[in-house]
Amino acid sequence: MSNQASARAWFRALGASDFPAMRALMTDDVAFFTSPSVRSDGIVGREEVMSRLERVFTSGRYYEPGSFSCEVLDVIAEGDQSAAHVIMRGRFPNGNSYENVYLVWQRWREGRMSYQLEIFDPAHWAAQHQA
Amino acid sequence: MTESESGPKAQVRAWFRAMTACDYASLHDLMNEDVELWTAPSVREGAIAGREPALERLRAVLGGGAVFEAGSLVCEVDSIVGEGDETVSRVRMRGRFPNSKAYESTYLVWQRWRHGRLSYQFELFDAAHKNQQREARGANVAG
Repeated sequence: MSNQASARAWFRALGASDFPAMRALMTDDVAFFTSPSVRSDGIVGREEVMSRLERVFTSGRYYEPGSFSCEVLDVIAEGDQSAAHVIMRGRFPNGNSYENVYLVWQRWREGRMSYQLEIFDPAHWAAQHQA
Repeated sequence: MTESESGPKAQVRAWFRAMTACDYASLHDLMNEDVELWTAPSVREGAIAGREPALERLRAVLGGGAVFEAGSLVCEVDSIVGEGDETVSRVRMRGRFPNSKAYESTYLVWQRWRHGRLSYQFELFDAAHKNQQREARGANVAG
């Protein structure tokens, strides 16, 4: 599978909350980074990342479970890196709708993700949450 | 710029070099007439469309003194992914706010190029992180 195809598979799994598929697409030593006002340090290690993803998508604290979806607008890849332009949609626990654009930089090793930096606009997240 | 880079990647480097230098003539020459500039949605919904409005906005941000201390913004390109006429760059931006507080943040910048000129740009960054740094309490850390 090409890195571009791996990236698309990743977002398909994310949109479906398919945790086994996400686990299979990460290296043991994967490092995850997000917008710095959300978390300034990375999360390192597949189990740590999985724990975080499961909490975000199933706990009901951040989003209504099952409401989250990803629409991939574009993916480009070169060498061991790819970049994706993605729209994320969901519902907050308070019933408000959420829609935001993400740019996601990923690095791949033997078909598995070893690094991810997602940049999004948390101020836009907060404005929709509090609307 | 690395010696082997050409085409869109070289244009990317030239773009951010011109931003750092507040070189508006080069920025002008690197844009198509129908360029669209998009940014984080909490900053501005919708695009700035057209070269002259885009250049006016760049002048205001880079040299106007209201967003950053004029001429203080430095754009350091960490890495570029390119495919066809599209590039995505991971860029470290550093500068000073008008109140002298230091600013540093990572941007991801999606660009599309036509005939060597920019036709589309979407820069995404953490606007909340920017506000936090501008309004940080305590001693100024710029310097």
